[in-house]
Amino acid sequence: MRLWLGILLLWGLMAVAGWGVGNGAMAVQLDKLLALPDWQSWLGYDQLGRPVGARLLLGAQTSLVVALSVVSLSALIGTAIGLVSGYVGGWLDRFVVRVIDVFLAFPGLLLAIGMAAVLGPGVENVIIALVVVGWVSYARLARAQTLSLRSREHVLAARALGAGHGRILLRHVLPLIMAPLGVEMSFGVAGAVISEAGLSFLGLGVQPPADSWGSMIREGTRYMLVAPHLVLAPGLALMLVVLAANRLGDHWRDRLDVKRLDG
Amino acid sequence: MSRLLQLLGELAFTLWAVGTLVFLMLHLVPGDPVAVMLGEGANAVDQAALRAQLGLDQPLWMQYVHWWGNLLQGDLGRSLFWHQPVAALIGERLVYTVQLAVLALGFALLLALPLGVWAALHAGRWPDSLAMGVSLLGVSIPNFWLGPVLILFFSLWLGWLPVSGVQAPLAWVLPTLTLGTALAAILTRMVRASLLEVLHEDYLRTARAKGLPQRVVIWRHALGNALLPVVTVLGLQLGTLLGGAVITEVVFDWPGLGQLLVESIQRRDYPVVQGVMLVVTAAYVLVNALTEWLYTRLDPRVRP
Repeated sequence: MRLWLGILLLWGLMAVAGWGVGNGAMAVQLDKLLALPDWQSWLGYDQLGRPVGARLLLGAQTSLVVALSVVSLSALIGTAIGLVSGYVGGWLDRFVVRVIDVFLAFPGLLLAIGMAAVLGPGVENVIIALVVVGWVSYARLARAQTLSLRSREHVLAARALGAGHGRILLRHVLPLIMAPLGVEMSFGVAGAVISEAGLSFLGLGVQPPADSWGSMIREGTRYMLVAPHLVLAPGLALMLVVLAANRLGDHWRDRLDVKRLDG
Repeated sequence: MSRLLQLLGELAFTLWAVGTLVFLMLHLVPGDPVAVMLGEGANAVDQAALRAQLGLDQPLWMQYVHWWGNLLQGDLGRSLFWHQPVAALIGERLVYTVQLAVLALGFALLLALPLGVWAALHAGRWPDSLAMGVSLLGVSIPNFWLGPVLILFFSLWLGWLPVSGVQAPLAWVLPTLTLGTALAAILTRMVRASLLEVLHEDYLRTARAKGLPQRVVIWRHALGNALLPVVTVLGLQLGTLLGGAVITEVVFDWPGLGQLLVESIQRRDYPVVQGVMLVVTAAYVLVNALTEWLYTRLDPRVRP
């Protein structure tokens, strides 16, 4: 577990270090086009002679900013909708369930691709597109959990004592669903990192000169025979972060559910 | 029968909502979609012509009525780039995407069934950890990275397989592997989990007690029931598969719907973008409705 937490921590540190890179990542060195690693840049140089290591840090920054924004916004919006829908019930709940079903009707990345297509490229639009897709899973989870908690004794007791709806939801229901939501958020980080890189790979996400691991892979594929490090470096970074976030989510879920047999 | 009607009602509602959202997509384009499509240098006459062709000069409710009127006749509009009906373009490309999806599905099943069974039968021991480790790796490898890496190894270094396209005889191998890996990984986990759940059922003890060999007990009796939940997941995973197909097609220059979608987005050919989104989503919705219906037919426990 320490290994995976360490990778996530390293990801954060890389992103912070990205702010210290400054213009170093943009420095074009024409004598080093597609050059293999040397002592100045451990990961070699890209097609414009820019150091890949420095660009990797900027990519880490992009993916961290996108992942944190997407997961926190989706969780906030989704949980709020799910809580209220499950708690209030009735026609509002039926309506919310319908809306969730319609959003789930779009296959995986396709809705995000469509949203990115209409909104146009850019970091903010990637975040918006992924939140539009992402809130649904939190809403569904929060609603299901709230439904099962709604008539539990402690909630009924709180209501009998005259607690308001807001207080009941925030103090008596929300704390009990935080753990499963946390697991979902952990998987959400992995999903957001992959989706951002995927959109950028398709040319629908982060645009040059800004860096993303996805767009680095996209550019690198053109020079794969002479400079495979352009594809390998960002891909490995991406895979390790996704693996770590997934592993964390798995671990957390197993800890929560004592009945589960599978890991 | 009433269950079937209910399913059909839900299906119709979902298709209506999906169609409406895709219709509204064009109106979400920031600013004037016509200006975006034609670029900055277009003159007012061209803009007015395109506006009229797309019906954007009419009030929104009229456009909406037209949209559905055309849709119900199978008319998805005309491509701005190809000057062809969108439906014809999609028809040409659809074959390739279906082919790729079916191949990837087959590969995933071929890999996931034995691996999942193997892991479940050795639950908690090293084959289990190994299979689950491989599966976690499979879920975590992005296909836009797996694809280029496979090309690097098998096409560029070893020279065994073509880099891209569909013409060469073995061109389908690498796209299939790329698209199928994540699905195989998820299915392995599902097969393992649902097999573990039925392994302790009484009917399997009975099957063993009457002297059936282990092979028959597992593959006939246990898997028969264990695969039911897997079928549902398979339907849902088709969505991920179709999304992944977009990326895989771009990586391998595979002339399917995904590549058409991405090209059309870059060309701001919005009628094609809308058409592809609509067709792919409708296919996904239909397959899922079919899976759900099959599920209720196959499992007597959920039959009303």
